[in-house]
Amino acid sequence: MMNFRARRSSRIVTLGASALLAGALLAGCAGGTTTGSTGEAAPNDDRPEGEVHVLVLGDAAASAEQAAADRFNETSDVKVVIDTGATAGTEYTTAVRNSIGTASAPDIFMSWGAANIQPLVDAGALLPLDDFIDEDPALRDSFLPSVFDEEVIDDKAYGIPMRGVAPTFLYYNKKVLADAGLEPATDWDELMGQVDALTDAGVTPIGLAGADKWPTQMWYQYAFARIAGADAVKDGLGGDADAWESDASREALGALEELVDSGAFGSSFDSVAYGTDGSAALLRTGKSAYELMGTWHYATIAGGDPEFVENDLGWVAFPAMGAENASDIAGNLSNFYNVAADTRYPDTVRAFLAELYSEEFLTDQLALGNLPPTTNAGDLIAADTSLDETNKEFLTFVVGLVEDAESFQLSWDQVVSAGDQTPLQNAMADFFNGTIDADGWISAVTAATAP
Amino acid sequence: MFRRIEPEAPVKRRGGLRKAGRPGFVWALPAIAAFAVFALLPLAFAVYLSFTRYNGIRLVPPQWVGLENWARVLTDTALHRSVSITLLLVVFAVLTQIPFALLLGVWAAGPQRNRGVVAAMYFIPLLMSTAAVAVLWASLIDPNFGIPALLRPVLGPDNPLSNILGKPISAFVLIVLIYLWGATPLYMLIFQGAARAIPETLYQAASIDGAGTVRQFFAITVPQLRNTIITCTILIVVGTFTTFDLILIMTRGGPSGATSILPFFMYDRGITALDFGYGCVVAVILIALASIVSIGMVRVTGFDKMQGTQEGL
Repeated sequence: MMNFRARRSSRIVTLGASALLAGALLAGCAGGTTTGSTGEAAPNDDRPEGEVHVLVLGDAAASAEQAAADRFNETSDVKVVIDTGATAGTEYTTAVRNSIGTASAPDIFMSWGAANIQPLVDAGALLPLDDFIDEDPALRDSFLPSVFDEEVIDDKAYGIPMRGVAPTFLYYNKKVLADAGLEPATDWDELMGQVDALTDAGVTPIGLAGADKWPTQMWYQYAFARIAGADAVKDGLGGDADAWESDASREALGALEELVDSGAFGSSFDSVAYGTDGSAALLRTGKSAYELMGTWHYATIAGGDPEFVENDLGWVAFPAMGAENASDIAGNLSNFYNVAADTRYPDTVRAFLAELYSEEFLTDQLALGNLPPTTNAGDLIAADTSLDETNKEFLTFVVGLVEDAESFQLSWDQVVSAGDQTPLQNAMADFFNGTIDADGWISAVTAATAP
Repeated sequence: MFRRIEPEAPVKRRGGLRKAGRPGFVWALPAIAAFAVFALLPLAFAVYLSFTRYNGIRLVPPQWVGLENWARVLTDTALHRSVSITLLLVVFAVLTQIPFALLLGVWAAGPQRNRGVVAAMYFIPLLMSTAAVAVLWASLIDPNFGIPALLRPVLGPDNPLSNILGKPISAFVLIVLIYLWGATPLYMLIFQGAARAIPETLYQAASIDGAGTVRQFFAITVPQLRNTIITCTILIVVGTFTTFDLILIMTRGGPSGATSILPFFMYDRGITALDFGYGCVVAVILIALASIVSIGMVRVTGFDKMQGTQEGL
């Protein structure tokens, strides 16, 4: 029989055992995170033999990357393996971060721009691609310099552009505008002047997926590009608080406030999401007249109603606001492929990256509705016979927009660090819904962009 | 030949009932090990990370920064708001779900067959995944294509239903209501079972003394269900403190942070912002808060004394 004292001592043993177990495992975990070094990494022979792993974002566009790998593997001894990752950028980035530095990390993975890869560059986790480019100059020369230079950090190139160039512009419903007797607006006053007519016709003048916040941010990007100019925005995002305090900044905020107060976005925009076919359905079903969105919107709307795209979908550059900066554009430059510093087969990786400017890969991109970030994109579109007329017209419009642009402003939330993204986006939404005024917006954005 | 049958020697019984009733600690080892590995260890690691700067890259191990992350707690107004919203949501969850589940459960405890059918139907929300629930509700309340759009001709263009997710109060109320709808069936089931266990004789005696249904409910049913009410309250409190999926899918903490409860705030600061140090600070605060509230409730209600409600019956 176990007496009371024995029972108590067994309890102590139990507690001690679990504490020891926990301690041992904790030490194991902590130890796991300290392996690796921040110095120049050599090829890691623990990586899978005879394989180069590519982690792709798991959306529809991944099919072009799979096809490129299949083509490449026909002639290569070291095989390229495509691993499909998360569909959402946040989870994808987290997965890359958690695996980097281990033998199971992908050799090639994608990123969204300099701010996205800066922590990896600081950790010495990325392979500078300059040696690759010396051997194969087309890795740089095939691409639009404005896009390629985004992931050049301290004069070292870290990324090769690999997905569509995605500027934002106004989409519109041709039938809704025609029924109200209106032409697509090309300047700001014209747009403001159309609000009442469209509201009277029972239409939300401009559809906005406010619940997601980044669509709201697109309006600031253009208002600031037009009124304050690309350089001021660059200064502001670089941490210069004066850029946000300036008169031009207040003028841009004033113009936006006037637009919101006029009812241009209706009163329920913060309940509308982009992901669940909210704003796209508004435009498609004629409940809204305009929407500011990126190139990918074309494929989204076509997915819901291909006939609408053919007959009633229109697109036009963002309206001019005064005479200045009328051709400037904003949006996402592209995505980039990065290479892990400790890849086992650098030569195979270099050879595979050359696929990214091959005609087959670019043609696949066009078929997906993506405008390749290459210098020959315009010629490819003109020569491509498999594209339908509407798609061709659309891509030609986007090429023109990019070619004519004096400057191409990267989406603000892609410029700041991951930790500042949420506060920045919140400021965009809060000013639109009236939670904060211009002063509140300026101090919030100043804080989110502080160096 | 006959063998002489020896009287059976008394066998020394090993163990016996007394020991079977009180097994040694080895029996509990698997559970203790699982608890240590999956609960204590991550908890200890989270506490450790909360004193470090770590952005998720193994090549740069967590750097010890002392109380730097914890100092931010004092000035982070978004965190303060998140704590208040979390506590508010817990209070509203208890105040709405307990009375509702109690009434429904007691009603469903009756022997009538139609009550059983209704109770079974009401159980359906519990069987649905939260992700599906979130998407369904989002389309129901969509201002342009959902019920508000149908009611617009009646209620006018700017009615309270036209921008539910866009206004702080209505978004919060909606979350409370969805939880009321989705979580109540579980507690209803618990109350139903407990109500059926109340001895019939109590009600018979009360009837003889002339007590009506309402009097019987408050004088017999509620006191008899005291321990069940406390159990359900603790379950609701702990469940609400760890609510995440509905918020992530429906509101992402918005509008303007009005539904950014602590688990979501932790996800946003830790995973989205890749600031694991501060994310762990929020996690530790969440654990401490939930533990204090749960232990406090157990103490205040005397639930730990395990007193029965049927002494003398």
